[in-house]
Amino acid sequence: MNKKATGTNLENAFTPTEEVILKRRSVRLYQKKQVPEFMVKRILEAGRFAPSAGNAQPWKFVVIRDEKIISDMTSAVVRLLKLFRAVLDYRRKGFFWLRPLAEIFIRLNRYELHPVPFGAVDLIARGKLGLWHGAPTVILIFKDVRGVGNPDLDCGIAGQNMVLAAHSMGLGTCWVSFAKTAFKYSLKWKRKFGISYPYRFVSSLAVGWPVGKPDGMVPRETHAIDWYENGERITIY
Amino acid sequence: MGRLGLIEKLLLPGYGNVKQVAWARVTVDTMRCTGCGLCVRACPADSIMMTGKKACMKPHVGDLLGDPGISQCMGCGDCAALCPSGAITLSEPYRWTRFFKTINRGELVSPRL
Repeated sequence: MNKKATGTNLENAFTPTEEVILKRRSVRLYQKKQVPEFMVKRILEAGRFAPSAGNAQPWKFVVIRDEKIISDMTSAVVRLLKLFRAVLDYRRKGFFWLRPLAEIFIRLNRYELHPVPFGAVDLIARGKLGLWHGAPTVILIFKDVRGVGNPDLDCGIAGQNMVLAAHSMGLGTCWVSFAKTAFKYSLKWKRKFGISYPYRFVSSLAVGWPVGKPDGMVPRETHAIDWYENGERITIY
Repeated sequence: MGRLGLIEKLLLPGYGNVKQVAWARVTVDTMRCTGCGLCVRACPADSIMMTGKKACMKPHVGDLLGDPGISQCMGCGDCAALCPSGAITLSEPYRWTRFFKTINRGELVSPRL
């Protein structure tokens, strides 16, 4: 096909926005250096301008830049995950009798206790995987349950806006939902942050300066996409 | 996990049997690996280790009965993107069957123009 050179050269190169989207990797190795305050505020601005159903803006952001709070919350989550592991992990030597109990729990809560996230539960409980990976700034995202339609989705959109804004500034981010356990299974952290109705935890973002240059393109699986045109349907990948 | 019938619900796999999930794999070009260990520190699944100053993937034994949590590579590509000498490539994607099956997936492809 004859590629016509257009003014913007769209067909031959990604736009700067696309580059940020495609090169964004979840960063799990951060420098100790704190992120400048203005950058965090700019990231929050990107979240503030996210689209939401009925323009309800059903989110509440909590920024934690206090080392002690981050480490206390991390150890609280690690303690809870250790407890989960003790109750659920029947693969350890001598714990075969836990199997029926664990299987009942898996059946009752099969999405959260899926074997795939359980691998991470196990790693965090054994201290082989950090919760926020040592990031100096953490943004907790809470949804306002009174929001229009599906507030979880709106929080996700706002979060992705913030993530992309952060990466465009050279920062690294990682979505961390394991912090949910601190809000779901203990009252302490809800009280500490004053979280009650109508707010509920959705996810959190670790924000910090990455070690090395983690942003880059990697291959990903293609997904089946149905394409309707000219009265017929084709599936493209 | 999709909508399951009664029998399938009863046969739901536990943590000892994850054969229905094929973990992703990365390959390390040992000629280019400088042994800096960044990938080992960054891997969220604890899947990479150093052997003789070169990075390599931890051996994967099919089930997790031995060391739990070993080599559960999700194919996130963090190591490949982070590697300063470009020695790591994602070679096999995360594959899911039966209970864990989600949308139909194709091959691993880099961003296309």
